[in-house]
Amino acid sequence: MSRYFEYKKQTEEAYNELKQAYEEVKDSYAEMIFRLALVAEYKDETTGTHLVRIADYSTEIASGMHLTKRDLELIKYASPMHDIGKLIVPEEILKKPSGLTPEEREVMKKHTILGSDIFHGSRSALLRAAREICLTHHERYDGTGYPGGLKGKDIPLYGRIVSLADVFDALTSERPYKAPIDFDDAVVMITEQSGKQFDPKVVEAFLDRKKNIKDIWQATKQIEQFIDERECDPRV
Amino acid sequence: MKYVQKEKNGVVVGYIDGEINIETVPYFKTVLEKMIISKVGNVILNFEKVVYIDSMGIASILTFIKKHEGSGAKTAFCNIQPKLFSIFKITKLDRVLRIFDTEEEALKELSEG
Repeated sequence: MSRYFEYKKQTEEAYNELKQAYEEVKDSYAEMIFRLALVAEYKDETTGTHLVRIADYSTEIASGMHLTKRDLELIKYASPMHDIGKLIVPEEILKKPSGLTPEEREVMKKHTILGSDIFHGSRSALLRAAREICLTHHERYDGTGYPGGLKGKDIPLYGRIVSLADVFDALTSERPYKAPIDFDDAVVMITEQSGKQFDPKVVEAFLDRKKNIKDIWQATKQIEQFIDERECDPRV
Repeated sequence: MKYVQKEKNGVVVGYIDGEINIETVPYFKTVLEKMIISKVGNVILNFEKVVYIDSMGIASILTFIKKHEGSGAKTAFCNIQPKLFSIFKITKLDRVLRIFDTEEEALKELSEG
């Protein structure tokens, strides 16, 4: 009997050790993802809160679609990588304030393929999710998007979700060339694109979670305001 | 999310365990609000066991800092895990918050006398 308890204890110890190692690996993956995304942000000069918003909006929509906890985890950590391919887009195109030539626009569109190439061949579920999102977040439900012109459910689910999150964030964010659109107006614009640019089911989940989406939108505005105030008047 | 706090050298040290996210923020806000009402002095939030923080979580802390500073007290953070620190870095919060590697360093800075 005592030998049984000894084995049980050893097994438990081995399990805990393995579990800890697994958690560490998982954490390192997630950390690397954020660090990589950070590099792309430096180059693109969009605000850092954009990444946090994309993660939060995407997770909220996924939760509204009643996806599994594992799906929510994957989308939370993989969605900030959606524009990582911009790292490879020439800076003069990326930072051109307006008026891209048709050729330059084609190069810009390649950030989807370039991003997915970074993660090509990975066996990690997280990096595979990141690859899928990079490649398909500019596809449109009606088949008029890029790079594949995929239509409807042929667009992977994570891509369909991040596509909406990314557009909604672009609408409600200030850019050098445009003022932010009001929250409610942006919601209307998204709704109007149901079945055209976006999957109706994804739009439905987005509308279902409108209150939380608004809370996230307000929270990130608060974060940006706090940082702006402190960077001008550092009290730390 | 779990929260416990201890007083060390006149400083309140809060230990947060779990995720600070849209689901746990309502509870976390009540914890922070209690500290404002009871007018605690300097506060250190130990993030050793915080596995994730979302925008709602960050905003709740920033609201607390603003109110807390109104009474002349300071807030600091310590033991932020690398994964989480990258979120602080992305949002540039690392530039505007008092962040220390260890609780000892934070205590040294915030302890009175």
